[in-house]
Amino acid sequence: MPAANPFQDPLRFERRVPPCAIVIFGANGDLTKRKLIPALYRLAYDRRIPPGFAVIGNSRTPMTDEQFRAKMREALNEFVDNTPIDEGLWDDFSKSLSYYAGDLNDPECFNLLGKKLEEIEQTRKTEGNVLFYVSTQPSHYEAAINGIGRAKLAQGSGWRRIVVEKPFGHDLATARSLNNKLHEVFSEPQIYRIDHYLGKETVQNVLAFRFGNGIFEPLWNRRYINHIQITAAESIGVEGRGSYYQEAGALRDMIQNHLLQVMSTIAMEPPAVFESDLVRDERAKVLRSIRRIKPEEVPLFSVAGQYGPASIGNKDVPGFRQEEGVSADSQTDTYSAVTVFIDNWRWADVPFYIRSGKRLPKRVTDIAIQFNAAPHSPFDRNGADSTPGSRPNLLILRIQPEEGISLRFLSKDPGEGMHLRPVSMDFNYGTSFGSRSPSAYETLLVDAMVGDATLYTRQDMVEASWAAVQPILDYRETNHVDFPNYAAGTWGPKASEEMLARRGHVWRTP
Amino acid sequence: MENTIVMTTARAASVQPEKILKDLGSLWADLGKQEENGVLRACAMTFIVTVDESQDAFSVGETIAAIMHDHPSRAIVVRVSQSDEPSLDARVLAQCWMPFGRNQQICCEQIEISSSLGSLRDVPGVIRGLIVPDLPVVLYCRNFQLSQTPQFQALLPLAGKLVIDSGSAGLEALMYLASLPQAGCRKADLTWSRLTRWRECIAQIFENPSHLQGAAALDEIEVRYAGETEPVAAYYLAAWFKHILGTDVKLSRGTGPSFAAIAGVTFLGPGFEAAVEMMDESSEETRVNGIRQRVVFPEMRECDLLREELSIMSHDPIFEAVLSLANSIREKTWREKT
Repeated sequence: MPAANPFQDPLRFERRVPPCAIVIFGANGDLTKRKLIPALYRLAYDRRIPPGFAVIGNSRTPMTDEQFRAKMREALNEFVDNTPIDEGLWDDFSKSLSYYAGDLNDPECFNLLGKKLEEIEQTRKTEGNVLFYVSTQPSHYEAAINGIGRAKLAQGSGWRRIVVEKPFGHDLATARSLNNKLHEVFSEPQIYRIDHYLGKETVQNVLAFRFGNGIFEPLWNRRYINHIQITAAESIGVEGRGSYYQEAGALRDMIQNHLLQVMSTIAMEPPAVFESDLVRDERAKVLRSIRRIKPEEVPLFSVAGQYGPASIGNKDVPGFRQEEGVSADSQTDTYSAVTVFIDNWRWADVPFYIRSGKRLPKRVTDIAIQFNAAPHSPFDRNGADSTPGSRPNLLILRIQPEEGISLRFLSKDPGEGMHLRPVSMDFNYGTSFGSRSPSAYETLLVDAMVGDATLYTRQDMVEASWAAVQPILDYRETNHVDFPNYAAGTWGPKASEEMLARRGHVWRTP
Repeated sequence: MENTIVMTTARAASVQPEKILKDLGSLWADLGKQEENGVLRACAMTFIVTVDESQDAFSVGETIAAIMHDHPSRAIVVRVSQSDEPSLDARVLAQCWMPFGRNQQICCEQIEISSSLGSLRDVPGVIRGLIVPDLPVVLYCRNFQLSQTPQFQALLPLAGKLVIDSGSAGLEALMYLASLPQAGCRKADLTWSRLTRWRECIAQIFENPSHLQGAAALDEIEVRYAGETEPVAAYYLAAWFKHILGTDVKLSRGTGPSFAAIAGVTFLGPGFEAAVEMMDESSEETRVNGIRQRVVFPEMRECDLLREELSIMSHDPIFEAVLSLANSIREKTWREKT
């Protein structure tokens, strides 16, 4: 472990990034253009990129360094947010970008990469530190890992790390297989499995809210919390990604990874110290404590939906099966809702309702914590509407689009009599505090470069979350649903409401 | 983020804390009635600004409006006129903005107290009644000469943090800040905040472990400053290096563009050569053993500097150490010259 840099001033500026090279597999893809290069440019603009720095792009498409740089420059124009493009800075930054074409199944591709890395270590002074970023199609992950292993690039004079994009496997078996493949080449501390939800400022703020304050944690358990609802709704459809989405679906694409990670952030025990492994240990414990659903229980604990055509605001919106690249009898879930129980002392019998869907009425991601009603209300005589039990306290943690926290409680209506009505106390991060938050990819890239895996998922976390949804995937494989079962622009299928109604609960409208 | 600033109803107020608070209450009630969706009142601290009336009145308001997005506060602006005749007046107002995509304005309250030098002794008593309970109190003295008056000194015990700007006042401000007792309110100087970008770039060089090893054996560190004589910024940087490495730093006059009164810094050691140097008004070049990197230094406005200072309410051990050392280096330099 190198000595800490005494020039750091954590009160005033962010951690400095060590010299390194980033190798992007799939550099001609969407993620590189939309997220990775804009995030790296923004880091350069914010003085976070070290002088010894290089990016090596790889894909099968033949391109010169200059063509690659021109392409990334175009991407920057289109996708960089809230950051001026400084031509001098770009000229300098673009010199760190290089590209080579190569097929990941061809060993020569990695021999060439080895030579390029040696050369760059000398010319760009990257000190032998290399971050491999696998952002190819999932079917090429293994080829990339094998190639790195065969060429012995997973070890070198500096540190070597690998970032693997989602989806991490298609089910529990493929996730385990991918983990095994990774471990043939890399040790677990070298592996960074990305879940960009964990990089979101507001998801991190959940930890600050829970463990930075003394007043909430005593209430954060089965004694006071009635149930929790986690919603990730999108108003858009598959937007030209029909063929990809058809293979994934809402359960795989959102719930297995992002929303179960969000749930683990809500439900985890406080770590002794905010350090990577301690935080991930606590998240992993929650995921391992998820009650396994028996095959016969699946219809009671989960609902699949698929949107049909509708007219929204005088505009005809196609159903999922009418989208390009989607088969006319697709059984893909564009909506999924699950009931999760965490079998531990803190959360026993508290339902966590998780839903995610496309073509819902609006784009919103939030977590609603519904507290138990007051045990006795002295105001009952004033009618049902004013009883606290009919309007329970709600704590809403909003992830997007308006990041913040709201607390709903009852207050006396002004005037005569003791009539109560719910009021909301709001706190808005983004709007009250207007400074720019780093994008999830900026945060995660810096973390990978400085070796902080706190916001990345670990092997046991990934496998536990797949294990939690595997019975539902297995059931859906053989039990087909009469899709479509909700119209675009609505809050999902009726069965989803019924799933909550069985426990006397209702979905709130976010 | 939406930048539109809306100045809303201003009301005259008698200069009694109770009256001012009552007027604030009425102001909020009026605002609530005017806006269909009500307004969101935001406050995270009491921010007291003392300013000479002859200074640009609008720029104070603009600075407060810019920082309230990050640090919403009850701002108390004390405008002091250079007259010995008794004169004291106050008014309340709210500054609001409508964040993009929302239909509710967010507002911060502002109290403006106009006082002649002759009435300044009455002001601490008024401010004492206007401080928001249970939240931090920051005192920003925009005019250094004002901070030297006994009336201003009476405000000091109210503040948890005192912010001054030695950029215009020079060494006198450094000496004053260093003379304040350690145990009192926390101290800050916007000159130090201006140096953050320099320090980030220097820290970046030494993030490389081989460079860090070389730092212990450096033969020379040179700080080149803009202007005729050593500015406070140069003493701060020299003190920072001494604090970290224990070595003395050569201060010399630089030429060419500068940022925060510094033109560049160079490091020389066995097999190690690095420099951080301004190339033009908004960009710097870092050179380390032959590798060059261009870095953007966007302009730092008063509001940017204050944002940084208002984010630090705890002890700032590095600045505290640097402040004391900088004053010692200044004394030593002065003795050597004379």
